[in-house]
Amino acid sequence: MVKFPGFFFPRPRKAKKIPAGRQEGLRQAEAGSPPESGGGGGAGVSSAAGISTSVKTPEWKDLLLSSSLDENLQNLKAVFANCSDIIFREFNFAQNQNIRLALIYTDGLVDKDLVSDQIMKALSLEVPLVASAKEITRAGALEFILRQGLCIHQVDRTDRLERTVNAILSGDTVLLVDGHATAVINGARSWEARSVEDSITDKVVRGPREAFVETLRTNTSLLRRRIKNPALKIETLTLGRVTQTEVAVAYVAGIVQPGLVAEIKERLQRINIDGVLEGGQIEELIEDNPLSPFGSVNHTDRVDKVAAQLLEGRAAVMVDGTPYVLTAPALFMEIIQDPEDYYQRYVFTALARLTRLISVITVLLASALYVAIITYNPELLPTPLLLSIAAQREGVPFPAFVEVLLMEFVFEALREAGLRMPQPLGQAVSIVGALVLGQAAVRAGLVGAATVIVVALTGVASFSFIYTGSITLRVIRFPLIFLAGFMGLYGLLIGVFTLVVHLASLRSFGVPFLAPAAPLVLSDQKDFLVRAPWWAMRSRPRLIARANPQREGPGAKPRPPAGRKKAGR
Amino acid sequence: MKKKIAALTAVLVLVLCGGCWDRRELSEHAIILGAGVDRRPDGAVELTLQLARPGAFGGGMEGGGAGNVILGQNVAWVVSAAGEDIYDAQRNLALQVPRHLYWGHSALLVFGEETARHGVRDATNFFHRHPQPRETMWVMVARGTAKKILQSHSELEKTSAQAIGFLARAKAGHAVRFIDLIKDLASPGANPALTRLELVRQGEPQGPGMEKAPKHQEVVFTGTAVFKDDKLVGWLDRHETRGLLWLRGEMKRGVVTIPSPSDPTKKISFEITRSKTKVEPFYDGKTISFGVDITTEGYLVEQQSKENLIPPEVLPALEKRLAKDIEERCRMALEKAQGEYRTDVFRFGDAFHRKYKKAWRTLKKRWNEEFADAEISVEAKVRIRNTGLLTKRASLKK
Amino acid sequence: MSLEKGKISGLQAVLLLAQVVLATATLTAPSLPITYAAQDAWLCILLAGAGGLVISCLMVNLSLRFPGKTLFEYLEIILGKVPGKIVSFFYLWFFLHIVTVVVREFGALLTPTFLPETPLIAILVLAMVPVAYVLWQGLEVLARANQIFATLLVFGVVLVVLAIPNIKMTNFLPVFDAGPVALIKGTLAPLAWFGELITVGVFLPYFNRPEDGYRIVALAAFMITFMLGLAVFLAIAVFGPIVPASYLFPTFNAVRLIQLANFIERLEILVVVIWVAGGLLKIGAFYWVIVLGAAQTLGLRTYRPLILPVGVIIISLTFIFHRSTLDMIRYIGLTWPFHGLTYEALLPALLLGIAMIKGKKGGGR
Repeated sequence: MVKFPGFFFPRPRKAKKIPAGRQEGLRQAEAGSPPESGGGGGAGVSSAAGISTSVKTPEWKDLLLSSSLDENLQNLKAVFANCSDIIFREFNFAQNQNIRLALIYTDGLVDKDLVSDQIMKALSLEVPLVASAKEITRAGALEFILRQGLCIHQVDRTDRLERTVNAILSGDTVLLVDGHATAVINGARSWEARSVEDSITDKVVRGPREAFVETLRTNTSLLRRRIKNPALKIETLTLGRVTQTEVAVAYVAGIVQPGLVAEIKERLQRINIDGVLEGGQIEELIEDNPLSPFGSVNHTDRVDKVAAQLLEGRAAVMVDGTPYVLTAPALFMEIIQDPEDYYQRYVFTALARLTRLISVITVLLASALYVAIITYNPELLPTPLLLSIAAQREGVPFPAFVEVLLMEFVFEALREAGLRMPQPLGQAVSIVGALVLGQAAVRAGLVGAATVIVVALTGVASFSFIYTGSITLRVIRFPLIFLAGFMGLYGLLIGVFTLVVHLASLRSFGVPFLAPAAPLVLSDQKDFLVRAPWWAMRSRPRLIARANPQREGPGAKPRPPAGRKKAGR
Repeated sequence: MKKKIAALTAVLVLVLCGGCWDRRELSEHAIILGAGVDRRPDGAVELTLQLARPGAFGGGMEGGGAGNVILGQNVAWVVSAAGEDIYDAQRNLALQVPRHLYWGHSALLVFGEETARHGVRDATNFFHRHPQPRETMWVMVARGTAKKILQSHSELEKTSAQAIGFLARAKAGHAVRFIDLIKDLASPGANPALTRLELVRQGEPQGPGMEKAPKHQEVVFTGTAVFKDDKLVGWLDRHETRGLLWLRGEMKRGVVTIPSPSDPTKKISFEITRSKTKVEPFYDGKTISFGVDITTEGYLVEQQSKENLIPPEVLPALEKRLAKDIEERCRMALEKAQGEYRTDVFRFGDAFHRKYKKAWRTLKKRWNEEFADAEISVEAKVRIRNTGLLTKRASLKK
Repeated sequence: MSLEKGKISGLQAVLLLAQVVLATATLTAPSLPITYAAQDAWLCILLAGAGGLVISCLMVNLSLRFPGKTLFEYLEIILGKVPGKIVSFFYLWFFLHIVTVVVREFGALLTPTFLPETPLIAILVLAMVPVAYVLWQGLEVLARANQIFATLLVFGVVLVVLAIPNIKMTNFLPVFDAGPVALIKGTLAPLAWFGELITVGVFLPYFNRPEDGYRIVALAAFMITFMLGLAVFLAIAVFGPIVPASYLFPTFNAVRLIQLANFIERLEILVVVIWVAGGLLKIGAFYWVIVLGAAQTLGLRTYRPLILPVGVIIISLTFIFHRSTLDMIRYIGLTWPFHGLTYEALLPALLLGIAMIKGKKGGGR
């Protein structure tokens, strides 16, 4: 569906109009946007035809199409007043010049080749070739067009104005036939979209690379290509009063826990918001523990990961306009899981997960522990280390606590700068920051070298496991540093205890967040701190796929055929 | 919701306003590396501390900065003050040391000779009760005052306290941890024996231009201080200390040199790799006797005599000679302890208690006397496991 | 059952009951038996373990007669409404006593070693905050958090392994040196600690399968005996039969001695980690028992409003009952065995007798 980039650029004449129209639209939206403004007073700018296009009170919602093309066009033009990207094209039917036709579509959302070749050309020029002998009456025109006139795969019809408007806005091309109170909806969508590329957040060395894109239909197709089974269900609904965003719930029937999908759909339907621009909004609107810093819904842009999650009994929520797909229920341990774990040798996975687990602990505790030990309990350090650190800190003007906070701030600022800077500059910033700042600060005696090491260690560790997990932990480490700074190791222990209790109290769609650690699920230990070889992963996660826990049949362990004779050499 | 916020604020206020009582930056600590306890003639306790000067320890920073080792600069500061007891002395020290005295890394506790003679029991309590000093620090007795020992410096290590610590850790001499001293003091069947420290003039000028470098006194382990209960009663020299180690079953590594059976002017040395001591008490209601079995393994490291080691009778002969040497050293130590000092520093009382628990109840009160009169036979068995990379000597002209 | 909706699994129940005794006992328990029985103190632990098993089985037997009811609820069934409530209040007072000892012990390790200048009250109040948070979340979260922190007990065993170079097995000789009187004296205090297993009377209705009660308390008692035995073993093997009697926390001091390979040393922080986590959970367990019991006795619909006032009461009583560490030690050594066993063995035995007389199916109501 990728087109030449220049193809869809609006012509200059239209380009000029856009800002004006947009501003108008914005004003309209503002006028009607406060949902609780009471009464009907918030009506927006009305068009000449008396049809309000405000968000608040779309009066045309319940209108039916009329059989008069002029009236229909007048209504639609009123609805689309100041929408310069809506194209109205009127022409006559080739077979019967008395019958007027009109095409309405949104510029940039349709495949113009398809529309001009297979709709306009077909109807205005080529139809005589097919049915030259027949006289087509006004009454029979619609049926003829639907049967023989259009070379479009997906055609639908409606008699409701709202449906018509939505179809146009979604990129369908609407054909109106004079004398018929029916709109023919032609599916000829095509718009500028990013092609399927590598995943941005979950990189792997071994394993599929493709990631979701912003287009929902492309995403569902990617998923469907992974799971070619009618049991993969993708139900859609529309969210966002203004944005009318399509949201899809995907699951594998027969594996997913019964009730989970209903629960998700129920929570989705409870959402009443003007716009849905990213899955993150939905995530915060449907999760179990809205006040917790830990999300109880996960997300990824990797197709294989979502497919694997679905096969484990989870459900996915796909939102049009974002490459990130939500999956639920989420577990805390997913923080140390990575798609590659399932493709690399299982022995390596144990090492990788251990590394990530230590990294998780490092991000949370390293700085706080450093502060606690050197300001409260230096007796825990070996003597040579203590003397070395004491020597470094001899001229340092700040308390260790302030020093660590300072350096952590510097690190966060560097990270933020690296992200937000225009790309070519990002690297320069991080190099300048890491080398020059750190080195200079130590040289100048402003901070101890040990502090820089600890903070840098925290930074490196925060990159070595899943990004979304690390952002939560990065936030939590600050209260822990505070506790360590004010109560030492005891304060830190209290903080960690509270954190663990909090994690233990969380549930994600009924599944305890800390499973399979607490409650302990023995059969799930095979995919927790280590991953068992695939031939031993006989069952799905117990608490998630309660309905259908069997993954593999018995005897999956491969071995050479018993009858094979051992070769001499 | 409001309640939650209020609760959270309350906790925060509690933590932030209340905290910090114990917060102390590293630069506020005076890190004690070693401590010494002396007794002044008037009976007052004199506490001597060797404090680290962190600035001089270097933090691995090149140039500038705070921590650069300047050659010749003192890395330790030795201070001392007197007081009525140890903590009082420490409080008096706090008047001259601008930082908080910090015991957590003190590796050494030295008792001066006078303190030891008057009894060390009272001097141990502070170090045991206070949470900072560690039970693993080495306890030793100075020949003379502990202050002198702590004031010396080490040529190789940064401070003398650390040097002594490393020596003790390498199991040179009879190194005793603080907790072992406490256990010996607490047990009715044992008496403490601590390493004796002495300052010995040593060190050669290292190259031209350094001839004028002052001859320096280094701390050396010169034997063992023998206690009766908590009072110093005498010394064992290096050879007798060997015997003590063997009898206590603490000989882990060591070298034994014996004259060759074939040519007594030439020496043969053995490295001890493993040793086991078994003490078996015998008691018939009247007399107490002990049988000590020492089983030792080692290998030959140096041979100056010329005998061929390969013939089957040579090694057993060497083993016997070695065993005799070990027995001799044990006998020397026993003679001193039983005869001269009349104190059981070998923990034989504990061994006796293990076997004769009923008799022990009456005997334990006068155990040292009973021990002094006990008959003790020592029997050593030695097995030579290998002879290094050579079998017989290679450089001999036939 | 509306007071607490949580259910805990068999494993969680075992670990929770074990924690209820172990958390503080591993550090404080060795001292007392060693004082009386010297190197035979490990025998005291075995005896106490056996006694504890009997006591807890008694309680399970009693509780199983009244399915779905906690101790506080069936007291009223056994004794009648008013006397039942009175005895309930006595039990609440008893549990309050236990929890103050636990709280005071909790502070007793931290104050001198880690936070010598911090006022005890600040330490304790800070400790009560996360505990109250656990209670707010309910029994299930308590059990789950406990399950996670139970893995720390593995570190406890590792510490004993690391201490092997300091261990002298000859310290245990001669065996049976202590007379029977000394043995019994040394057994009483640990027995009273084991008696804390009677909290099973309150936990039992919330087990997934209460009928497994006997197995659960047996496993818990076994675990406790093992860990306490290990603690006593460590203390004697490292320090000999005399020195540990003067220590407040012999295990802590034994771990301070670990020095391996020049860098595995100064490990007492691990003991403190185990101590703080275990202590908070133990306080939490008793705190929960108290608020639940109070709510049931007073007939409340939820125990949450009681969390704050009970917390304040616990802290205040801690300071009233135990003015110094020595007060607490004296209480544990002299008063506690009798005070504890009255409520842990005597009263439950009486209750069981009454319940049996009143009819085997007394709990049918």
